[in-house]
Amino acid sequence: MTLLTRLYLSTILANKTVILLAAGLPILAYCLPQLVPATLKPSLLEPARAQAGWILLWTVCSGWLFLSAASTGEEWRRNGLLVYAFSREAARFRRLRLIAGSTIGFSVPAILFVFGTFLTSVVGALPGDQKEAELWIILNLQSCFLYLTIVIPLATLGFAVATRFSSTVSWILVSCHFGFGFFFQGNLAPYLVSSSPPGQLLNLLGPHFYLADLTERLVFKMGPLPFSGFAQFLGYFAGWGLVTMAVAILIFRARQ
Amino acid sequence: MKRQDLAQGTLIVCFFFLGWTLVIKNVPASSTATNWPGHNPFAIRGSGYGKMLSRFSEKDVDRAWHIGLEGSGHSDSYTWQGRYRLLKSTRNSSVPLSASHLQHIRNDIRRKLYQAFLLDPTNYTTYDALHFFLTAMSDIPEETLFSEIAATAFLVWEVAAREEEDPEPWLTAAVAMMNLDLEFNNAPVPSLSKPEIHHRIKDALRSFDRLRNDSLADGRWSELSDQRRAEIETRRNFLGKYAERL
Repeated sequence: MTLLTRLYLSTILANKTVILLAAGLPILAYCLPQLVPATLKPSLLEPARAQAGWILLWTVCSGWLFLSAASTGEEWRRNGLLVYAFSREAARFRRLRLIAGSTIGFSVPAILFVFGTFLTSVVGALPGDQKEAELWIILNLQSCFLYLTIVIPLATLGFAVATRFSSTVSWILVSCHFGFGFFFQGNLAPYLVSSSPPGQLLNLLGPHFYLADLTERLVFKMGPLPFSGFAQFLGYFAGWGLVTMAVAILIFRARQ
Repeated sequence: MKRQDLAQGTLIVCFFFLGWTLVIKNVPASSTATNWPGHNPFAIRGSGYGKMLSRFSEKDVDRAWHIGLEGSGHSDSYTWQGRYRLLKSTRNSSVPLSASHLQHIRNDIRRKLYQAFLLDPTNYTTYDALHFFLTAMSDIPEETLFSEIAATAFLVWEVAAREEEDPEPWLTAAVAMMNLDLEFNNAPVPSLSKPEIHHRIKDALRSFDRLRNDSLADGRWSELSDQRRAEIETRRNFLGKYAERL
């Protein structure tokens, strides 16, 4: 573990928000389905648990992660810690190694949250049928991997933008980018495909994060993605992740 | 947080929402009765939370109907909060609405009714409000109007007629078929004959009775509030009377 990883982890542990979120997520996922009108249809309850867990993960936990990455970036640049870390590293690939160190840091809470959601979904809403239960676990695992490939590079981007501009700007930029890809691009895509070349270009270059939202498959028990399709999704998001990381390395600035 | 950061942040948010408003205004609606559920983030439409949100909007839909369309009071004007809400949304101007403003309001109500309906097509109240709005208040040309009425009714049937646990959606399915029967009195319904529609209405009521008896037997029915049970019974009796005449 590098200096930045250790520093980030001890900071969030001292702040304790991460513990609150990791513990609060399963509790809320069990409480929220009580609002669902399930008196006449009790079978609504269990999928609603999984659904609540994944909604909270995508919105609340990602929101917190981007915010935390952004404020960390600004703080480290302000108190000169990045300059110190920069000078400690050997001369080759310094920026890359600093970025990698902090990325590992951001991925730890992300993995913690996603593991909590996975447990909630599997313990709270496992189908009774043996075969269906297997499919349910595979589907949840697929969801976990897609979540991590999208969220971790975005957190790094938030960190890098904050080192150059500020945490406010960084958080707004990253969450707008994420929200655009997750909620709006899906509405836009069918229209853009049939529109003019600039529209088609926007459709090609815009982030299609909504593809990673497998909640529909969970709620309506549609089974996991076929393996080849899942590999393509993962490849697409890994590609986006690499592009995002490249931009982050370009934007990153250690000096005050 | 410095002032400069706030300014930069505000600028980004403004750009984002301004751009997005422009885009939304120029892009057709993503989900309609024909391609339901469409783009559905977090699978809200059709899930338990969709049902919940649809229930929450029942009151607003009802109020919009009574205040905006009939221009009269409404059952919840008996409580003081109800009276105040009525007061808050009652028009008080001697100048009549211009034609374009009226058109704007109609489109707005239509959009909201569609939103509530698409969250849970099996909700009786929101479906009924949408149907009556389309037939009575909208100024859609006749050909498109009939295809929209048919599309909403078919969607209700498609979603509700799969139900094997909850009796309520079957009443919505029955009322959707009844609406088709009434609206297409002279013109033939696309893809369904009159006897088929009548058969579907009776079939839906039979399924409702069967599922209600199941829920009576295992005690789920008695967990409903008295008011809700009475509401469901009223609907059942109304539809039963209609079915008897067929």
